[in-house]
Amino acid sequence: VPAPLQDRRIQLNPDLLWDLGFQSLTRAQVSDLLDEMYETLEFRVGMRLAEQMDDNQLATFERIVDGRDETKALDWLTRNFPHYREVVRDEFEHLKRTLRRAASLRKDLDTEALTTESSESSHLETGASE
Amino acid sequence: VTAGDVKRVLFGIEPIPREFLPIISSARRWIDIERQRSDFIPASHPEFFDRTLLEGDSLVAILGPRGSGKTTLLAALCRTIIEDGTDLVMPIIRPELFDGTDSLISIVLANFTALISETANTFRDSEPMKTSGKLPASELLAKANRSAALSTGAAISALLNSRESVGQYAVDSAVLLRERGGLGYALNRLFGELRTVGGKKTARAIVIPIDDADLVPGRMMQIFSDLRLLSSIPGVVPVICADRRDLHRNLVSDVIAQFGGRLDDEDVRVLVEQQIAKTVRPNRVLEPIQVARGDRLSFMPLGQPESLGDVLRRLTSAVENRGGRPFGLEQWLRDAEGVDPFIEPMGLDWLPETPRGLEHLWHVTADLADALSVAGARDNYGPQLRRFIEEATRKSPDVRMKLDVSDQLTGRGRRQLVANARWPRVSFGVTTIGGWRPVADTSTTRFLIRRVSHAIGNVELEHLPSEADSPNTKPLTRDSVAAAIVVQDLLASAMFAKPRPTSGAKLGVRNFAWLQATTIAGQRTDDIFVILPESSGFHIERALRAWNWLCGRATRYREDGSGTQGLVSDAVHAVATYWLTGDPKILASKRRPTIEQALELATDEYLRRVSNYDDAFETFEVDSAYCEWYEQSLPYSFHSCLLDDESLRSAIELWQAALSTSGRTRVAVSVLRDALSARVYGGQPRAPRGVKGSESIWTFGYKELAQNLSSELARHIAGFEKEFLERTGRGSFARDALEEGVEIENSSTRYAFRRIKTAEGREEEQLIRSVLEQLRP
Repeated sequence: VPAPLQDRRIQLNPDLLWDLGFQSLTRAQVSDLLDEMYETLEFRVGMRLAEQMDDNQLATFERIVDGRDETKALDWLTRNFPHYREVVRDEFEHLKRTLRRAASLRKDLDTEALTTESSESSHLETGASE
Repeated sequence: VTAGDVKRVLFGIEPIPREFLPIISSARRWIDIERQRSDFIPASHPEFFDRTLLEGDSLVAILGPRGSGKTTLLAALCRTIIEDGTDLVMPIIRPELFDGTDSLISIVLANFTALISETANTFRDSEPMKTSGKLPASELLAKANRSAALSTGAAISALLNSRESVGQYAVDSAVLLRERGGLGYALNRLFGELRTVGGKKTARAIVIPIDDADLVPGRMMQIFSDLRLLSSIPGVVPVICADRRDLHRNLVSDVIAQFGGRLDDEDVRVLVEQQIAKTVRPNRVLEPIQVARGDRLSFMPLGQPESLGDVLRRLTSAVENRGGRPFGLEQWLRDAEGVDPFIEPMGLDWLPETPRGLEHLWHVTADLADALSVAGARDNYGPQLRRFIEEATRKSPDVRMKLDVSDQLTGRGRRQLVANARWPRVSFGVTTIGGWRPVADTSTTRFLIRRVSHAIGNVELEHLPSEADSPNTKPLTRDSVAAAIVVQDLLASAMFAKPRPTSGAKLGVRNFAWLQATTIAGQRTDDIFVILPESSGFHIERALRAWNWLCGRATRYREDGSGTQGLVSDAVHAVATYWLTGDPKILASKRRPTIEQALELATDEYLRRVSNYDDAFETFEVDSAYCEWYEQSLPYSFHSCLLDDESLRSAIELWQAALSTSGRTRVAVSVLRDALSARVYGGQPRAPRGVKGSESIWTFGYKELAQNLSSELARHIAGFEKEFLERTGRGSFARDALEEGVEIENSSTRYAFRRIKTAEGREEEQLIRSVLEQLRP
């Protein structure tokens, strides 16, 4: 029996963005971005699952998805792709990694700009004295 | 100046008081000077002067950056109003020259005092005053002066400087306290009289021109308050010149100084924006006219015999005489002359837009050309070169440059200096292209060009032997070589040259506008454009250059409506030569290989090359990021579409043949489609690398490109898209899985939400969105 789902649910919340280094957003911005992160996750997980299906599985799952029966779809996924939760988790981690790198790169560039600003000032002064 | 002039120019009153003459004559001199400067302003410009500007109860603002011609426009506006003869124009006020106790109101009143004292009879004896029994204007003025002195808080100083008695001051103070709004009332009465002086039936407007109204940090709040008071008086029209940014900045500093730590940044911003919005109404803003692109080369500063284009040409030959090769500039000048500025503006984009900017460039260029032309043992043009580079690269993107100079002995014992400018690293920015901020310290031959926001390393030049070792050797100092190379490289590859196969990769905004307007597979291309010079040595240069060239061609084909045949040919050619062989000389030779020859070059070599960059966006580094887009995704589209196996070769030939004769496009596309469908719908792409999303991107990329070339072609290609969308629609497969495993929670006890959007927050939002887009091809 799988552990209670609630315990293992991934939460997309403002703290996630804060921890990733995005700390200047308004509530509305955060909310929009969380929605967009969710959509991205959905897209990537869907593509990964589809890539692993053969033609028959694709056709079957497409039918189930079109039928909008959530329980049936989850049953089918659990049976045929028992690792699908790992896929979700993997993609979530990938998303976080990528965002963290972007935030850190941005921070580095800002710091670098500041450093150069000051080194250039001294550079100019040297040039002037020469 | 004759009495007739006076009558026409100023009030139109009779008789003309002699005292007017000095004022008017000085005004005329000033007007004549400004007239020369403002001749470039077309009188027909619809916004230029409209009498409705002088109506209403807010000021007229002439807003624009420094050097954009605000003062000139103000002068021209005043001239027009004076010549119109209806209204009264006061001398221009410059708040930056105010003394400590001056205020805008006090200066305005001082100007009127001068006017009234010089034309005393006119004012005192004017008909309305006599009959109505009102106070004479001079008395009204004195009263207004006292009120102003009291209300601006400079009363004591003003009192000391005035001839008024302490007793009178006390009386006025009492009146001021008794009558609320004393200053406004006094000004209203005064200006009411002035507007109708001389027996005019229709009240004239009183125009108060104020130049550089924004250049007085510490006094902006007071000036704004005075401006609002003046604007509220019927018929009084302050006309201010200001740079919107400086206005904002100085007001912010005033507010902070006034309220200190009691306001946070956001409050200050809101307060300032409210002040500006309340004072400057959008419908009463004039902007200086910019010099049209096509006119910039022919710009000629006052009193100079040469146009800017001529001076640039002189620089070209001066560099050439020094052993430099300014081919970029030459070519650019040639191209720019035939450019239709509306269709093909890229060649002129780097020129400054404002008259002052053009004038400055003119002088800087002339200085460098003069310095280079002086024959002397020592080269001493470092400062001029530096200024020229600073000026010429002001508007271009920012890269830090490494300059390598080495000397080599040639076969004939001749010593040759070889110099290369290289860009060791380029910032892959999420920012758009900014301006160069170059510093060239020629005394130590160090060149530093830094990106406005992204700094990238610093390189110094090795010392070189400067002694010539052969009588045939032309002695060149390092400065000289550096100058030639820098000028050449900058001119050729970064600024002046239009995109050409032999110039540096210039995948810039300017020539990619149409592609930028298109989102391809969720990706926008404008966030990663950086200009790379020829000498950058980047392995990505090839793809950039090819794309640059190809898209330039596509734009041209599209604009002149010459169809797609040439482009298909060009595309095959470019793919074959640049992307696959990486040899730019092939195209430069202008000997176009046949399709068969080009296809021969389409080997797996290309795919082998790009296979190393699978994790492009994973690492978020500049080169891999470029590769992901330019070296992998888009070229792969072409590779997959146009170049592959035998069947495709014949398909392309058929396609091309069909496109060359009208009416057979459908057949051609159908052949192409048959050849490609297997790769699109079934089976795996032939590419040996597992680049995520590449298969999906190429369909989109191809379609979008086709759409830009020919709508008919695009319609036929649309068939591909439908099936592709069905495939990508499988993103919905994860809906249920995510509903079970992921939840969104918007509340937080930890996140310190900003109350309103900030620039930093917007940057963060943009960055996150761009990352998400990349993850969602």
